[in-house]
Amino acid sequence: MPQEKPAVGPVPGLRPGRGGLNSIAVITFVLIAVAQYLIFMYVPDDATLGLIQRIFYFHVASAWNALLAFSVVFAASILYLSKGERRYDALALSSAEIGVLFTTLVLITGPIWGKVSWNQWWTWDPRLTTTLILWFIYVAYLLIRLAADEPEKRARYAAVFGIIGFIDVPIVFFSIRWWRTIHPVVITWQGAAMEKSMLQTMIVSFIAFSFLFVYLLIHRLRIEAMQDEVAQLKERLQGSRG
Amino acid sequence: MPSAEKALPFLFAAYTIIWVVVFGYTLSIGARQRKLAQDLDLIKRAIEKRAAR
Repeated sequence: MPQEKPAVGPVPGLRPGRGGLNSIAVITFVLIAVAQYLIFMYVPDDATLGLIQRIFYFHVASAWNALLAFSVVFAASILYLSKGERRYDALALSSAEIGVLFTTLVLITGPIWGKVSWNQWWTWDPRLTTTLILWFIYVAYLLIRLAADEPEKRARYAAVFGIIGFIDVPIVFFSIRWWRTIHPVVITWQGAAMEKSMLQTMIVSFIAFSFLFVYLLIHRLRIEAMQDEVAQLKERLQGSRG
Repeated sequence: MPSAEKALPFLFAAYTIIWVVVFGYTLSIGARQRKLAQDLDLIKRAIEKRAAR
């Protein structure tokens, strides 16, 4: 059983100074502005789906961010269980919260697209169903942290859950390849089945959202570091009273 | 193919929701950081007062 060390703050490399954070914010803003320009002004309408296909770029980029976030939860959970350092627990929690945010966006934008393309908001298609399950798994992961009182126990339970819960991530990805589905299969083993300008727009959207993920993660990690500092100072204050 | 007239409000709604959710989350992170900064400030002042006595 690992002993939790009182290491506070994020993983080294994810704690830039104010200047570094401002640079990430500016790059994120510019990339998102470029992506929006490409989506609405550059790419042509899809030959089959028409105008509504333009949801695709941020819908898939949100899914990418969710995948990224839950991969970080998985890796940080393993690191927490092996090293017992608080910073990995903080990283897993912060990333899980952001992952749930982007999965929520996938689950909102998907049905909007579906309503126009399939004429229904929801269908129990394998991709939609496994994505909904993914959302429930990580909402449960966040709720589990409210259940245990002791911080160490809470972090350990969450880490185990973060590792087991990750099983659904590859299932979501491969669901459209393993089962019959009405969900479009765009990225295949032969590459991306789309026109060049659409591929360029998708890549820019992916990069923009990856920066957005890093920006949000750094800010969310700061909250964890500040909460730890508050807890430590409170203990010190109570100690000096006693 | 769905008509552009039919698709446009849905497309608008999707992008509006994305930005409202992301912006809302960013604001909530900022609000939590500000609250914690205030708490830290209060506790640090309390510790300093105690040390000065």
